[in-house]
Amino acid sequence: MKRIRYCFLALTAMLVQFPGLFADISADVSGSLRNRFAVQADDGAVFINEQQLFLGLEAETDSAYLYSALSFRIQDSTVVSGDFKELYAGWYGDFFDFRAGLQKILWGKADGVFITDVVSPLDLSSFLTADIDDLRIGVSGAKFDLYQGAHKLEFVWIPVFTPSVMPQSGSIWTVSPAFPVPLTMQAPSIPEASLENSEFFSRYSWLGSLLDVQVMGGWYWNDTPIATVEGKTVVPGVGLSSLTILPKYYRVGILGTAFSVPAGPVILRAESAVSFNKRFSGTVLQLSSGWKEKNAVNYMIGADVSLLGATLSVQWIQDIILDYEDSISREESLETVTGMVQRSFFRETLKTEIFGIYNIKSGDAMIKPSITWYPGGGFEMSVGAWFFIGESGQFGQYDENDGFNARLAYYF
Amino acid sequence: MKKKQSLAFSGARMILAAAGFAVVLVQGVWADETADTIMRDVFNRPEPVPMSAELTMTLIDSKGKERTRELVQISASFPGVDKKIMEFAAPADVKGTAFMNWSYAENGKSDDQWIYLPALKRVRRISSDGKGDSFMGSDFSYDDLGVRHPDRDTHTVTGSDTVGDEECWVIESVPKEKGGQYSKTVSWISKERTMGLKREFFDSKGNLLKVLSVLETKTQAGYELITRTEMKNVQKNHRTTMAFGNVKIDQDVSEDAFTERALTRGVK
Repeated sequence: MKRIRYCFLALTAMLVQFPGLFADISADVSGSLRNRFAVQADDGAVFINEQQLFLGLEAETDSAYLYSALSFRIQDSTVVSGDFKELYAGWYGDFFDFRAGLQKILWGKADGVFITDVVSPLDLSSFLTADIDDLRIGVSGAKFDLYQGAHKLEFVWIPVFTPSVMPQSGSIWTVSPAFPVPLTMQAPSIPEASLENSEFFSRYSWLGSLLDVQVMGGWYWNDTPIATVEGKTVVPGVGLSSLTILPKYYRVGILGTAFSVPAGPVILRAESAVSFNKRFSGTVLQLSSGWKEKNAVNYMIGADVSLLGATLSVQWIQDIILDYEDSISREESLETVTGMVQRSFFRETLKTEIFGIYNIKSGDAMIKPSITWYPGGGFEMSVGAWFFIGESGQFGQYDENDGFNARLAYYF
Repeated sequence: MKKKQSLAFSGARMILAAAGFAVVLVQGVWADETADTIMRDVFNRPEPVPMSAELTMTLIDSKGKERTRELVQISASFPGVDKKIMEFAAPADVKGTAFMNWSYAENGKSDDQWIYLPALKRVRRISSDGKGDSFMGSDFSYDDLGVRHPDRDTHTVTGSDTVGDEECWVIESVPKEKGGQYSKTVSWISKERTMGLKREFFDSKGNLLKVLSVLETKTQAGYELITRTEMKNVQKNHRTTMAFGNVKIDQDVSEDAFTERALTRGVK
């Protein structure tokens, strides 16, 4: 971490303090200091109390640029992490952009769900309660964009696989898998960086008056591993008595599209994808590997509208396993609805927002209200809460984790 | 010299559009002028496009406390459409956020608008329907900053007055279609320069709501530009000033300067 810090500071000093060395370079340093504090609703236990220093450095010439974003997390006066969120260099051409390095690549039109937005993995260490810019992880690779007017064609090559970050052991967001027998869980193995293990994505997009449209495809490693049975003991007359599980990352293909179109006062959005060879956990006694490989379709239809000074967004999402088999634990089709209402008051110095997501089949939901005050001078203060409804399912499993949070941020 | 079409120079444009109304004529040198003609002349007054500028918007509350927002913008006019990108330079918490607006000459066709939020790293199409909504918390509404064709209102010259030392027509403009943001507006149009210098906006109940004043004008490359304006909300006693600086006009700007690439890369 020291090395990272010194590199960053040295680079900043060179660019900012000695501009004569780089006469054609424009440089800019920006960042934020954020304090986050959260308590659980049922017993008042503090489960977030941290400061985050975010430093961004941009340096640019007419045809090239460098961007670095460094984040330090501090808990109890101790730096618990310090890493680059992004670090890349790029080159602007008349009809292309080329960018190489650690970068976040976010695609799609959906809010809060990830259908074609599968390039950058998720940081789920605090589930979906993290700040929006902390929720995504950069990937190390190269991106080449071609432009012709409003047409854009992107190619992404990622030789180094980066998985999603799951909650650490002991975290209130950790959910232990339910197995009926003693379990030995092995550490997941990360695919080695190689040409063969590279991930590839491509997207065509066009932005126009009639509509905005995107068509994408990818051949990538699923960002979360599938629990794979490596060994099991079956005692005659007793049945299954022990299991050895290896979480395995696996290849997935995806083809997807997304668009948004104005319809009078409403903006309609839609996004869909077909995933090939996706793996779904199943009944251990019926499936020797513990999972079944199937194709799946995931789509979203949504609308945004301004009404009485507020912005409303609603989304309908359906996730369907094709050629479904009963040995798969998950249901064949999952339906989810989301809703968000935002409104600003007092000349945009106060913003209120409420976001909700509801799984129809399992009847569980998450609701996140928040109020943010912008007093000026770069300060931002917010209070909010998250409530989990239901007893099982993606959100219901966190029924005990209802909480309140406060956040103070200073941007410079 | 190009015919003005764009939203560039929002404040100036607003004034000019505001002046584009009316009918009756009054006494004086221009007694043969009708309000319609005056407002059409104001609307058709030459305005430079394309252009880029830095915009400083200062929001001042009833206690005099100020909040400042700085933007850079570029705009240009193409056949049937005016295009503009505005990017926040300050304050730091919104730096890099950018809006793109395409405004159409075709009557009744809504603007297309997109926003780029750096934290989300995505361009999002947004509804342009809330034109009566405040522009970034200021006393200007989106509609105030847009182009309003004089044919959309009925104009009447109600008298003459002076703004500073300038003789002006006072022209009342009433929307032909009911249900808009304002029940009427009253504009002070300079007789010498055929440009709006002041405008009053009346709410749906007919009460005075806001007053727009031109604080500074400047001549550049043969164009008369309004470089500083103030909009005061007289009912809530707060106001917003808009000042334009580093104005560059008649640059060679292609339509490619108004694409998703430009929106995410920022105004250069």
